[in-house]
Amino acid sequence: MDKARPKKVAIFGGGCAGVSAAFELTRPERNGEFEVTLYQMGWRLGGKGASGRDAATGRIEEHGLHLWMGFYENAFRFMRDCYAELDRPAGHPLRTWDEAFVPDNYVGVTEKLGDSQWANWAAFFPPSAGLPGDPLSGQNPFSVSGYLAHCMRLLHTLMLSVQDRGHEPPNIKDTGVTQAASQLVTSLLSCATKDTLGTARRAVKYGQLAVGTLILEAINTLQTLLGALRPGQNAAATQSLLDPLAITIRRFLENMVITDPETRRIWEVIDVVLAIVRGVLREGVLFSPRGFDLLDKYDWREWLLSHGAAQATIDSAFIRGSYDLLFAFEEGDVNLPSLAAGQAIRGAMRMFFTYRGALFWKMQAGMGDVVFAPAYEVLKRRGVKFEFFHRLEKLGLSADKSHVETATVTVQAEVKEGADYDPLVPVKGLPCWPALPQYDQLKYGTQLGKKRWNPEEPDDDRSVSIKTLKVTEDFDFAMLAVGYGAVPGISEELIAAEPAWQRMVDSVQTVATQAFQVWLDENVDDLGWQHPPINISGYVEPFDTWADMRQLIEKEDWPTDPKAIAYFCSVLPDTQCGEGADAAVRDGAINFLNRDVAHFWPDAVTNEGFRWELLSGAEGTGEARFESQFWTANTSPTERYVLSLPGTLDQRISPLDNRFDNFTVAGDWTGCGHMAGCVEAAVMSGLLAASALSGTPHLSHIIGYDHP
Amino acid sequence: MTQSKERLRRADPDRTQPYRSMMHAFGKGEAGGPPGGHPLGIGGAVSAGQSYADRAVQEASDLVDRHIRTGAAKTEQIDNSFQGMSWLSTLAQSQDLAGLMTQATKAYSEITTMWVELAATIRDHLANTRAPAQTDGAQNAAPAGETPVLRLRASCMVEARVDMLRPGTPERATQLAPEEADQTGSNLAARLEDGHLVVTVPAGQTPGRYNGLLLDGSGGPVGVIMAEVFADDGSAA
Repeated sequence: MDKARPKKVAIFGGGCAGVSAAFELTRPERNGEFEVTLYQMGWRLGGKGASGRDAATGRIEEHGLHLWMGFYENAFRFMRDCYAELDRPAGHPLRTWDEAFVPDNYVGVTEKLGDSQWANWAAFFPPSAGLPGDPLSGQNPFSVSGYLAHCMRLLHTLMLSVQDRGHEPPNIKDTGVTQAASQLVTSLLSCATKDTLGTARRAVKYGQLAVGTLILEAINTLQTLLGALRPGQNAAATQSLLDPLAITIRRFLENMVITDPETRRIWEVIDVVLAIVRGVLREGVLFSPRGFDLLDKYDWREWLLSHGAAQATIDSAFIRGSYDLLFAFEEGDVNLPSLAAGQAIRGAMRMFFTYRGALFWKMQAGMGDVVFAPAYEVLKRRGVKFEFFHRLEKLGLSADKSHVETATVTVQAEVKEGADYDPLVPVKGLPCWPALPQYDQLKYGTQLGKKRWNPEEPDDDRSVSIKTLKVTEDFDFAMLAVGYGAVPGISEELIAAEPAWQRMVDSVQTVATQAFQVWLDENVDDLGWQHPPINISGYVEPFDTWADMRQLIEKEDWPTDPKAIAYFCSVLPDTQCGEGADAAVRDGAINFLNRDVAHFWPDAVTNEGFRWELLSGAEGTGEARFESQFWTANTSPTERYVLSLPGTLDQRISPLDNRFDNFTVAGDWTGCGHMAGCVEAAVMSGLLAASALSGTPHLSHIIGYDHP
Repeated sequence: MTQSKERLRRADPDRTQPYRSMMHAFGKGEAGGPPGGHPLGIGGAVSAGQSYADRAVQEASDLVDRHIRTGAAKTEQIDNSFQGMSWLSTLAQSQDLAGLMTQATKAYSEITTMWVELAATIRDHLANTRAPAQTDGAQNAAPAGETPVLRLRASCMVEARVDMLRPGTPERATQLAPEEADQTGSNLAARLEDGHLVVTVPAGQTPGRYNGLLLDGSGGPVGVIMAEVFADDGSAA
């Protein structure tokens, strides 16, 4: 072989996974070892993270809500390297990575108090040391024992926070057993007080909650052991004493907790953490070579229940929010929550215990503008070739099934006079992706523009030509980096040839999502929102999550700036997918604004419903004004979100898998170590795919890959 | 388009799965890592897992100690307070109640101490792993991922077994050190020999439990060797 010849890599799909893989393979240190061509359906990079700018207002239109978490070490490293290499000039609207991402320390969940009452819980997570993507030095933060220690510290902190609220035991007026129980608890608390003489007041009160718990635990244990403890005794009589005793004490504790919602919420978190600690120890996760994977056969909520969490905790906003965050509902049905327990714990541990800087980071423009435009510019500068309007249809195997021999691609449109497509447009000086193709660069562009042709539509069948890319001619290595929903159709030959692929497509599932965005002429504080700008989950369907995106106002280009921008998103039931999906999302959004948004913005709603005159840039009256806003039904195969269902994660194909010897995969649907649909998983998979083709980055350099 | 002269193939990966086991965190890392450490600065970092566990055990102990002390005082008070509640005698003997509460305290103590013991187990594992005894120099690796066949050379009664922690190729074995810090017995020799793990127990070895590790080429533990030496009369230590 001619060693000087670059190795040609065809990457199919320009989402986070494909782009980060291209970034790794073309690092300057590799001295041109790889010649990368990235094939992308439609006019823009981004996949599920793509965004576009409206031509008239410069407003940002996203596929959904994208927040970066403070533990996205690999993704932030990618971005930091990208911005550093881009070296934008002074005065650029987003010159550096830390101008593009801003810490967000508030997170919220909404909880249901009754049939129709909801309350907001906004929590502040203090900034932590360092920044995501900083070098990790000194110690490996990822171990089960380390996490258990974190859990214990968290328990300690939470208990102290409860005590800080100055709770005293309720004064229960009753007689008989209730009085006895009351005295019992009071005496225990007295003991706790004596026991901690000389310690701070906080420590005294810390004892209250803990002692109450121990009584319950002891009595519950006793109830199961009664017969064995005192053989021959009239167990029924003793039981009749213990039951009311236990009930009374539970009521006592419940009173203490329920009298203050904040205490109850903290108690729910304590309960979750206790269940995790118990479960991790009982199930042998600590010494298992499979780490938290050991628990992936269980559903997260069922697993917590089995290790002692209370049903109220399972139903709490804190736990429901974790399902909302990952769209963890089979078939998009909110009555079918399902989330692998091991990955849920791994994600929670990473999210809460290893974040740096802030729990969340908010992008200061669209995800396309912040992530994919800079990546495109750097890759283009490095010589990566982009083939926009190229949709992968099928991968073909060699006769001996050992490698990928062909890739069949539909060319959706051609650029005029054979020029390269120039995909970006400036908005207030920031390179951005437009919300629709730049028709004027395309052959037959005028006609396409009149039709507002959208090559991302699932039913788009425009085909200028069919290309068959061939191994050794067009590529040496192929990388499948499309969204999982398209994988089964593209990979039929691979699935037929390899049982592991068959098992993957038999088990891995996706779900459609929906989102809408509104721009308002009043700010949400004036509409009654009483917390800081927030991202809040756990609310009523069909839109359980709201993010206040006011930071984007200055990056858009309205004739008159709106005063608020709000994003809402949720899962979309499979029953609503299909031809009517778009209308279903629109109708759902209108109903939500009329009926449910008053919980967040009470002054945006009157007895007649939502005040439609609040919508910016709208025409007409009433609900018709909503037509001017943005909504999306993400139902096409590549847009669907991959689920982390129990019993399925070990069926995912790893980018490192070498069953087909010139081929690898990338995407948040792969066995990439962090098996959840998110930017970090996608970037990790891109790094793994690059490593599979080139040997670098070394696996130990992919942060969090070797993680329990 | 330039025609390539040769079809290229990917190199076979060393592995296709992440290391999930905590034990890996305390080895020396993967063989073959690039020189100069991690580009992000984590190369060669040693986990501080032991200090985590130590703190965890300490915090757990503090918590449980507090509860147990509370429970003991509580029992006395409850005895007294319930003695005075004549109405309760219609339900049960007061001493039965006192007994129940004593049992309640005991049950709680058992529950809470159980997980402290588990935490202590973590610490012991970490201690064993982080400070392996000097190796015996055996070089004949066992087959990858398989538990090596155990051969005992002993003149007394010994029970021994090997637990593999993860897939890997054991290339050497550490000596087996006494499980208890105050145990007086000297270490037991262990070595790999033609895929067999040979543990030698000299005559007069102090009865007790001994633990060692099977290590892979990078020094990472892949398995635990456990042996229990019995006294001449067959009793355990």
